[in-house]
Amino acid sequence: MMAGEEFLGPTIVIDPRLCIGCRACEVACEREHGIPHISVDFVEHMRMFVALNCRHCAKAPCVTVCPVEACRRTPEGAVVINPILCIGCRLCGVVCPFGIPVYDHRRKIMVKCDLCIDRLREGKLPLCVTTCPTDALKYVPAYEELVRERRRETAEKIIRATMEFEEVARRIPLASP
Amino acid sequence: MFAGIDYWLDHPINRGKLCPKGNDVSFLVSEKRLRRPLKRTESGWKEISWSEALREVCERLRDYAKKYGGDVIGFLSSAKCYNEENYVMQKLARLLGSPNIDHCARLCHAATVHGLIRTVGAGAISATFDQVLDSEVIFIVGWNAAATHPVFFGQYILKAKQRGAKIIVADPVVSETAMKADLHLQHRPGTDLPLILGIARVLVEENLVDREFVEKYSVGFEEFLKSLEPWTLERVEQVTGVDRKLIKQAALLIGNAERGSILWAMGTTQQVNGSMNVAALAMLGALRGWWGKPGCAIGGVRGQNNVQGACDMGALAEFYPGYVRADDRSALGRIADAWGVELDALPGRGLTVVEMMHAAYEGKLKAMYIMGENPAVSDPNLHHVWEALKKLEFLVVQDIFLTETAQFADIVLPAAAWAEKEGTFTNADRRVQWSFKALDPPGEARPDLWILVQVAKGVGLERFFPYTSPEDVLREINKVVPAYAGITPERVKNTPGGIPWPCPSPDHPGTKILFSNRVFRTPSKRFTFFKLEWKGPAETPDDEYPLILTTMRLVGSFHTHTMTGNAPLLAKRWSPPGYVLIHPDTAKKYGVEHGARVAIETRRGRYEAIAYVTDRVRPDVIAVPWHFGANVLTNDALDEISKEPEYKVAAARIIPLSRRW
Repeated sequence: MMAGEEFLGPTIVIDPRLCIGCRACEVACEREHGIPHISVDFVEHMRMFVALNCRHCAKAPCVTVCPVEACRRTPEGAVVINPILCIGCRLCGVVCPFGIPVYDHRRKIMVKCDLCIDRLREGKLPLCVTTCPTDALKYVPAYEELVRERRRETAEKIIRATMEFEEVARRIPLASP
Repeated sequence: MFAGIDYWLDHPINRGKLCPKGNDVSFLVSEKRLRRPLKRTESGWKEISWSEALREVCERLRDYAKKYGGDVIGFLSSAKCYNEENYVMQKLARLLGSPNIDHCARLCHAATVHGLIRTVGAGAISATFDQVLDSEVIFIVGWNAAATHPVFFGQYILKAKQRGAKIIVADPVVSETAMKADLHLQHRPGTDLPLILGIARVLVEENLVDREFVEKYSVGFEEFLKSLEPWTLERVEQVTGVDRKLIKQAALLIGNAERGSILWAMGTTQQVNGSMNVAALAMLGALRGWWGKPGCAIGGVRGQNNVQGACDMGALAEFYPGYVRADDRSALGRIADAWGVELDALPGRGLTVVEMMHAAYEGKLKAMYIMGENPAVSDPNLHHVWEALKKLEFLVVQDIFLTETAQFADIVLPAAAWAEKEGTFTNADRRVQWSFKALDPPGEARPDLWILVQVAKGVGLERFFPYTSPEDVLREINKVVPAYAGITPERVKNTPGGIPWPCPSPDHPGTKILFSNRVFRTPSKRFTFFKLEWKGPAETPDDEYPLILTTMRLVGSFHTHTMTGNAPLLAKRWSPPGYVLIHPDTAKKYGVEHGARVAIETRRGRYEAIAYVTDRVRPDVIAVPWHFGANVLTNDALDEISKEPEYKVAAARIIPLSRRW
């Protein structure tokens, strides 16, 4: 990141191409937080899985709407709900376009992914990222890094496809199917 | 005290990754753990002392051995237990005069062992997992890696795919693995051999065979060519139900790859053609010259933490430690010397898992000692198994929970789980790793090794079991099993990630790739082709039972659900009632709605499940997870060579019970 650039906080990137629907993230998250803040959805007709968790939005509607300022952004960039301040009004859940905040019936408050903020402060990665067997969940400290990485991946793909075409053309006679 | 789980981030194999099962091991501290030995009485289970339990077990075993001979006793060892424990159990069985020692490898990869021993001479994977990363093509047959080995799939197979490898999956179900494949061959259950031979035929016809490998390092190629004669693409398409264009595409991908991996599991081994399927896959690898080559791994992927090790240790009816054939008296001499007994004292080949149940049913087997296995859920044709277990005069079950099998026992011995004891495990890529103790066992539960040594002492075999620790046993294994000779306790404890066998001496680094010098362990020292013949599944659909039933696994359930069912975070996600995958056309035909309760019936039993209507199965197939008791349906017909039962193919019918569950 360039000096003076606006800092858009960290996030967990989800790659459905790699998700196998094993739900290790859910189990690990539930072990850590008591209630899972991530869930895996299967889209049957597309035959794809995707893990859903908080996007820690830049203009987070949950932060805007919270009447008691329980929902706020930490200095690290994570959007978190303070369990002491939360009154369980569910407004954050109503405005969230991803349906992320859930109601904790026991404590009568809203809960959601906090990016494992305690682990981040210890220099560790969020638990779902740590455990994900396929690296479908990736921790990205800043959005700009994601952009750079995606472009690198795309560049590689283009090069590979070009080379593969030449390689296949060399090895398989054109008369084959 | 149970503090929690942490991830070993720089572990050389799993790289700190855990699948859902690894993320909840709280079954270790479950209230349902066995804490004291139990004895069956007329008024139910009675807690007894260890001395009373051991006295009864030893007296009964000794009496049976004396009165009828050891062969009326059957022993089931455990692929969840350490190598040291498996070694000691098979030694105990055999020195008590019983040839009947086996374990659940018979139900999962016996076909792999036999198929590979015939072709290459060693029943294990050809190369360590990391070699898969350099494969250009990965051919996966009957293995839902994404559900059964998520870490291997994610850290090796999908990484290889990201590096450009093509993935071909042969599976009757669009499994989670098939969803990630470049090419999916959705064949009829039980038709693996025609499919593989069809691919092989294209390789031969298209001149994509590694001639140098075949000429210099193999025998029997001409014989093998005869097996291809019936399998034109037209006929393969007809038998397997797979479009011939897809088969040809698969063959061209395989045929044009310099380096490739062929990996399989129970989908292909649990058939009456199982060992032939494996031999065919081994031969496919040989046609491409992939055996012994870097970037290539060929093998059956073992499912349990130590099923490779339990086989290596000789907990198999036909093999002594190190795969010494039980019927090869000349080779057994070395074992007799090492154990300090006369050669005549060593029994020959014994009964396998399913054969033991048949013998118990017929009254030929009078007593069984079952350690860490749950045949009352895991064996095929369960009604027969339950009758067999009831007919036993004496049954000892040694486990961490009061399992379905323990419900049949006379004495139940409470065992320590893996985290509560020490020893070595050998994983699917032949790596021997030391596992350290993290917890104390609950109550009076004891390590299996301790229990087995006490039993050995109690039956009067004390002098053959002078062990006070797993290290003592491993040192004996170092002497008896040549492949383990260099894997000493001191060394393996200090090697994170373990040492892959063969490791013939303490200064040997271990072997990542077998046969890299292209010298095989067969009698001819060459890769051995032979003629393969397909005989078809034992049961085919008919008017009465018009569908083909196959079984599958769930990512969050381990085997008979004994451990995972007692881990709350897993049990709440994966638990009975199970479901059954039904194609929409089939569902319509039989009046089954998505979410409805249905009964599945075969000639052997009836099982209820929830209908999951999806086109991820073929219209002629229904698929059911077996963890929760579906083996009442499965067929106990055996592969003649490996004695592995045909779980994966049964004729079945489906009956709707209600509109919604």
